[in-house]
Amino acid sequence: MNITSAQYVNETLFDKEGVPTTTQFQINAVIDGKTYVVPLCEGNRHYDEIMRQVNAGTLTITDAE
Amino acid sequence: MAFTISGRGIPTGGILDGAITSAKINSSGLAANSIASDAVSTAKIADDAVTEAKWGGNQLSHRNLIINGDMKIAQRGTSGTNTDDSQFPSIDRWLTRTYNGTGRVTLAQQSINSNGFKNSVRVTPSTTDTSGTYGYNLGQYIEGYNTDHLNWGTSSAQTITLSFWVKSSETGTFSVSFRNGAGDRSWVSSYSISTADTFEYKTITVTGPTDGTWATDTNASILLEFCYGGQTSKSTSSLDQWVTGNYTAATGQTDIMQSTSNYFEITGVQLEMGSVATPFEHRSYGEELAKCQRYYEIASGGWYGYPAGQSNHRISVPYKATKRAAPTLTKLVSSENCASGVDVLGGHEDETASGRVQATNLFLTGADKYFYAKFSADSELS
Repeated sequence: MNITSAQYVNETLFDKEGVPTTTQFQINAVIDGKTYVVPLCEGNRHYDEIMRQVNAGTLTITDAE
Repeated sequence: MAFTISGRGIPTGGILDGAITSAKINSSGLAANSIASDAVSTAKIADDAVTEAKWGGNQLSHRNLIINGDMKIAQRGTSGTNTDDSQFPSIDRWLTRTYNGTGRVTLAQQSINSNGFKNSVRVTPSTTDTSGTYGYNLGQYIEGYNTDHLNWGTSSAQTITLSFWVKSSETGTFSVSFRNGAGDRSWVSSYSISTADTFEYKTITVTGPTDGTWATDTNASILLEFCYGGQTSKSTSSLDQWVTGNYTAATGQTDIMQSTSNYFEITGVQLEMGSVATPFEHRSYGEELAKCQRYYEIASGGWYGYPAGQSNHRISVPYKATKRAAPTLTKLVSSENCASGVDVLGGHEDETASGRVQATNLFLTGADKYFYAKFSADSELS
């Protein structure tokens, strides 16, 4: 897979008092020229490949905006 | 010497065990209609009379471990060209492997009327590779949950049999391989295509491996690949046996990647437990589609009404089939009249069960506001 960009996406949920909780939720990635929404889930072939390339030092996942 | 039985006929115990052997009955010994239509009733057959050995022991339905073996389901489109390794260009569940080769192929569903099949998939090089070095394969990776009954990797490993119809513009030796997910156990068999442009039926029986690790969960257990490109990196001359290592082709594999005029075409792929290739099991379109949707589906969802306020608005979109694993999502189509955009997100509580469509930064309230998206959810094995 040719992964040209990867960025975490956060999700913020608010409780009844309006207190926010933000969690890292997914990765938006451009793979082979297409935009994909990739879950943070081992066993997903796109996530596994992203992490393989991160561990190999050939890809960096940028922080969420 | 013929004789006649008369009077009270043959008494109980009159025919000794083993007395009537096949040698005693001529091949034409039973005249036509000599067994009446109601002669062999349920009561005449003892509970344990018809053993597994009498009908081969294979299950009577849902034998085929391959999904979309008759190439009828094409949710991604009926034709597509790969751009890299491990992609699903068109036909559901069938992936193309290039193993670092620069050649590219188009996978196109064909309309046929041959041997009971209405569809096949044709692989045609769109970019040739004349090196003969890399592997070019068409494969399907089978989920461990669907093969755990084979007991592979244990002393009770079951034999399986692969059958398929294949044709090519080229004649010669072709190969098919079976590997585990770790790629450290391989079985390669070769077969011959003797006549160009003509479907030929092939069967290959594989003895169950008694060692190696074979997934029994949502991961890939058996990696089935049909090779159509010449290769040296993953070829072996040790055929029809399990070998340690990662091999997908037989030495001398025919190479269709030499010309864009060549093709490799296949249908009726069936992989079943046992040493007998039974007739292809035609499943209903709906059943086959549902099986495919565990690995890839196109979902859609949206909202219409009067937004209560401005913010992100999300709706949950349950999948038609629970996914093998949390899927990768791709937005295909969207529209809205009230937000800065429409995005797709994974499900909140269980990503294998649903996704979500979001109106991002919804800034217009009032009547008749809407947002909508169609997206793919991909949890394929590759």
